[in-house]
Amino acid sequence: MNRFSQKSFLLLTVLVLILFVFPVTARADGGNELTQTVDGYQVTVVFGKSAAVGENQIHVFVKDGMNMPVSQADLDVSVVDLQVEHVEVQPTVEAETMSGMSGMAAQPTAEVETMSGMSAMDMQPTAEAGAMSGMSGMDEQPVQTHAQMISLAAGSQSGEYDGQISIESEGDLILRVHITVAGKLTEVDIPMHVAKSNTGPIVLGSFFVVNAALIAAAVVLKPKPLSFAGLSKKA
Amino acid sequence: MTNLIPTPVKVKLSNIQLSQAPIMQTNGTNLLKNKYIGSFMRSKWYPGIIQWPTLLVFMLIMFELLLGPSAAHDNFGTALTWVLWWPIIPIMFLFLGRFWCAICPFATINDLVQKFVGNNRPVPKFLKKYGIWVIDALFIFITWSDHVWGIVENPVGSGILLLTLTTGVVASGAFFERRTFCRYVCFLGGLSGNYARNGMLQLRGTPEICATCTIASCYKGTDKAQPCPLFEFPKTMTSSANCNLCASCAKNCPNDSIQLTVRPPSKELWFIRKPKLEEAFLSAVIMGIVFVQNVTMLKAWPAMLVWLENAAGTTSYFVTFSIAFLISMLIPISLLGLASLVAQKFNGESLLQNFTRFGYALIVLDMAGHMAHNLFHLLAEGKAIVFTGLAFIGQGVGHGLSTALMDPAMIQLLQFGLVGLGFAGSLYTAYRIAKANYSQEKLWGTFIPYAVLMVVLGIINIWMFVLPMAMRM
Repeated sequence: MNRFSQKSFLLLTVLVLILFVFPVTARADGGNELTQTVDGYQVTVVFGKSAAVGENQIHVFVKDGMNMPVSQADLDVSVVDLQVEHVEVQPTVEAETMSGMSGMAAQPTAEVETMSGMSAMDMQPTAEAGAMSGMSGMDEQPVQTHAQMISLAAGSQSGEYDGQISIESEGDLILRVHITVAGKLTEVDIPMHVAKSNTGPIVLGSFFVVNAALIAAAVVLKPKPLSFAGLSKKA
Repeated sequence: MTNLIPTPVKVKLSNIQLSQAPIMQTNGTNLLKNKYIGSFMRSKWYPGIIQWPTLLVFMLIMFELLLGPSAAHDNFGTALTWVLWWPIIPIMFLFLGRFWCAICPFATINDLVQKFVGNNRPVPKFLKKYGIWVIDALFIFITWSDHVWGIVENPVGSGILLLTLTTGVVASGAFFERRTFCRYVCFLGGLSGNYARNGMLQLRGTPEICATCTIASCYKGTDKAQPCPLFEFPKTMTSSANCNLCASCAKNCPNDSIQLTVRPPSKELWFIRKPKLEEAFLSAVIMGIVFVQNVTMLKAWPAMLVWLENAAGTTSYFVTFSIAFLISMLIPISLLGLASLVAQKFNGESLLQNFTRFGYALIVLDMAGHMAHNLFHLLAEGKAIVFTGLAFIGQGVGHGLSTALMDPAMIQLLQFGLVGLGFAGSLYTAYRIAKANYSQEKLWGTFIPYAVLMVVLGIINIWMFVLPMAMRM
């Protein structure tokens, strides 16, 4: 391989590595901790990085009224869009009457447990039963899905639960933690704000610069056609 | 229509990659003799008339992915890319071979950059020698990174992938000749090359005419059209893997030698005289990728992850997914290796020779599995294209409505049908490869291990399509 090829590939490799690293570095800007207490349970949610659109690693710490870690619970979490929930679910009187527990809005608990993969906000009384699952079983009618119920696994410390949640949109959201201890379900709603990402324009700008640099380099390195004037001078 | 390709460069005939394989006789009707098809493909408008609108749609997709809604299910670019284009492309490979590469927006960008600033340097020897391995590695890396960094589910992630490819073609077009990136680097090019072998269209030179030709204008180009962008020489072509049906050779040939014929799917795979390990490996890798794509969308996937977390002692998705990914890749590779180990006892060839020769038989099932998986996304989420498209022009509809175009039971039936056809195709291909290469006494001993392999892979595929699958949008 000649020197030009080696240099070109080195340049290309470096550029590709930079570009793949970019989405990671764009989000890595510090931690984020949220705490809420409901029915004696103190729930603290710690994000690995600041909450952002996309996959987020979370650690949930649960303590009881005696400030002791709760280690024998089943924990599920879902992300609910606050605005859409108010707009679309509140008028659903039927849903309110179905619900034994009042969450932030009318959110029938029994249905929440079965509708993994679909946002509560899209659920309307007219929706088909099969539409309640984002995990579209082959016997179910799929719909546009918004949120997922994620089961968390026990973490390294007592009372710690870990997992990965997917946040699909920015704005005011609720992180809904479903704690089941000895068959009793408690829902803890933790409001959070996911800032609008400006990643897109930054990415676009970065790529534009890289591509412009490549084209500029090509212009500089382009072999010049031999001119007859130059040849005659040399002769 | 502007001709994007620069004036043909001088090429030594000694640089042309000649295949040692014998030329397959073409038969069947030459589609280029059809007055409509022939005149369209030979016209100056082809393939530009399809290429330029594709580039415009690509730009719209890029705009939407990077500057549109951040949620995948609201993003028109995500819907067009992953619900429409990605499922349709393997179907296109089956019917039209590598035609997509003729109209691919990345190729258009390559040509555009090349026209204005192209240095037209020769393809680096490293790429000529290891190009398919580079493609294998990139394909594995991109699939892995999709799951770890969420490319499909994150519009910006999808945008970064497309921009990275754009940067690749800009670099290639700026410095190297023809479509170096498409032939030697593009992971989709590698996939389409493998699938095009199973495709139903075949472009070749007429042996009797080409035998007397000394000008090779198909390879070198003329004033009428560009030289073959993928470095193919129709006179010696034995494979459709690197023919994108751009018809430049047909435009350039003064002897009207080029033929475009229809052939049965998989036929090319039966007679590969010079099989390459890296291409066979890619076939097995694609099967592994189909497994990964299916497994991670299964309802049982979270439970599998928990099991892996406990086994690995970490909750890091990076680690647990990488383990699952490695296992999924290793299953088809090791099963193909195992079948080759058994087959070598009967035919006397080495494990590697058997692996290389019969790896091509997997391509049919690869393609079927790929199509079946994506058929779900296309048919179960197809209306998302309409909903997000309407939202793009300010018409908010679709929340709470079904995105399905077809009854799920019918989709599942189609998936089973496709996998069944793929299984039958792979089985028959393995038989034909065995028949073409071994004597009668070695035939069955060689074929049976691969028949068992196809049964096992077919069952795994069917099993995965029985289980409920999650959506992409």
